[in-house]
Amino acid sequence: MIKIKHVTGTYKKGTAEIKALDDLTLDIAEGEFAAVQGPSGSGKTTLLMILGGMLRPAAGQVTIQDQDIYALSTGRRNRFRAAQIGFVFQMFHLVPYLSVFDNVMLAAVKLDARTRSRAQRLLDEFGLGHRSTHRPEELSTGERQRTAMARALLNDPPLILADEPTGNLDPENAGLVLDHLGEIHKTGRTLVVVTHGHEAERFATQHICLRQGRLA
Amino acid sequence: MTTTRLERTRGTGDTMNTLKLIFKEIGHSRYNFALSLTAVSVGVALFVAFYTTTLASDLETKKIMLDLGQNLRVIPRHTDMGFYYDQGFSDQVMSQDCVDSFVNSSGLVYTHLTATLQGRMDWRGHRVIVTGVLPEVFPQNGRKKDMPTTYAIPPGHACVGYFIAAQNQLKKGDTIELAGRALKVDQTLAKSPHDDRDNIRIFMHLSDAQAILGQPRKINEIKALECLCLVEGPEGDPSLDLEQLARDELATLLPETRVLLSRGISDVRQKQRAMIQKYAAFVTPVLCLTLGLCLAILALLNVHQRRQEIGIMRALGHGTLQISTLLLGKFVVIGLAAATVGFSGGTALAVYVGPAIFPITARAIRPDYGLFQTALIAAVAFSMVSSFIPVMVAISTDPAKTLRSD
Repeated sequence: MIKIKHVTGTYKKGTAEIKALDDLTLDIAEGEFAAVQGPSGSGKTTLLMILGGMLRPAAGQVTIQDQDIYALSTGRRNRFRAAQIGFVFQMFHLVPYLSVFDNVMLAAVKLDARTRSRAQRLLDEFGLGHRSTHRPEELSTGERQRTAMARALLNDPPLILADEPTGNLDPENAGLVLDHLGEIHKTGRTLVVVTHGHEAERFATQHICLRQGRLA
Repeated sequence: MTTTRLERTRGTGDTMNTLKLIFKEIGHSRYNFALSLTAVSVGVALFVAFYTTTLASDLETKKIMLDLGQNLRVIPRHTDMGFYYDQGFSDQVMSQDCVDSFVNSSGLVYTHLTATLQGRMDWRGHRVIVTGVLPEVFPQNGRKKDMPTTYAIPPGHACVGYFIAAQNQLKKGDTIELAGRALKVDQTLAKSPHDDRDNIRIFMHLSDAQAILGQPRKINEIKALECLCLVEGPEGDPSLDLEQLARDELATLLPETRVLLSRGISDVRQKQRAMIQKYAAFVTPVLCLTLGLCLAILALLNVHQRRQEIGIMRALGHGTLQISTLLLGKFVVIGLAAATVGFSGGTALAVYVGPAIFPITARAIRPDYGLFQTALIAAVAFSMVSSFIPVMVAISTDPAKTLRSD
């Protein structure tokens, strides 16, 4: 499913260039629940951004489903990302002026009745059916994260990338979100979940531990 | 990976979705929207008000300038203009009755009117200009009587120019004789700084000059100062040439004459127009820049607040075109709304406040609906140009950086 070959990832912080990933090579098979762990600054988020086609690596190759994603034009990479990858972020990143339903629909590749129906079904599955007309500010943090997860699943992507999805949640909601991620994994999707601690271990089928941009 | 999934694009409902997003965002950031709308609306309103009252302003200016009056010089029709400009008076004469015709005209009013007969002659070995002056005729129509602008010389008296007086050692009380006619010197004139010819003139009553020059009941010039033509042109006609009206009126009244308009008043008018244009040329870009800067700052604040939204849209696969359409679309809406609000406000301002500023030509102030189309295009273009740089900066920001920052 995912092949990372000799990837070096950098990003700028002020005037300094930070080398977040250093000649990283790894494979993640289809259907895996990969838990990416490591201390702050070890390159976890950079790895996720590179996998998501949002941060071109300074060197190396990233292949997802046999497609070198950085060989694609920007437009095709955008479409690839929309259809193939679902994102879940620590800060949820919901659009504040849209309702829960519209936030989910923001990811829609097609704005047809079928997609709307799927959006509503996903909200129901995540226990948010009664919240579909609410704004994000009216939701609890757990509900916000579940909304973000529904959005990530709208286009039925085979790959879900989650950046510390429980980082902002209380233990109860964190457990709930992890349970949902576990359910998503059971549908055959590939998950790459960045975690700070060991909370995802009970679901993880692959452990990737990073330290200073390399596999530890 | 299946090709069909990769090739899938956002569908035909995108336009509706983008509009929906634009309006929902406007509802969410309504203060920013209100301020942006105000900035563009104020600009549109000022320009609409300015242009709606331009016609009235032009007509008002013409009327005011006409109120200041033309300085007219009426000379015999067949005057040799080369001689006239060289010598300062006509080589032809016309009847003194022209003065009466002018005075009795109901279409012309003036502040000062005088008639002269001028001619050169040799006197005591010098070339002099005999200048007969009819005592000033003041208007009969109620206009205020100003101080006389020329010498009031009774028959049998004279005022002698500086050079003639100096060369002949003349002084007040002396008696001089021209062509057998004795004239008592009332005053000798100081050296004229304006016209050298005045230094060789001998001013006298018109009747004395007519006798000396052998031109009884003849004159060769009428001067009417601050002359006002009362003939009205069609109200609201921007091409109305009031100078031409004055000429036409005199052509009917005094067919055997030629009318010269003072250059001075034309120069003043020209300077005034140039000053208004210069002022507009200064104010317009300053106003545009100021409002544009305000809008750009508001746009910058808005897109800065929306940087996470831009980042997540990137992460969801939305392209640059879609995101820039969403961001710039808001400013198109602002432009359209501002054109409507600004046009209405500017027109109302012109229609209700304009008459107080331009009372004479108030009827010329009418809503100019043709301006609405211009306002629409200009307001949309203005708001898009002002917000373009902030939007482009926001779009070019690395989404990974935006999403990572939290």
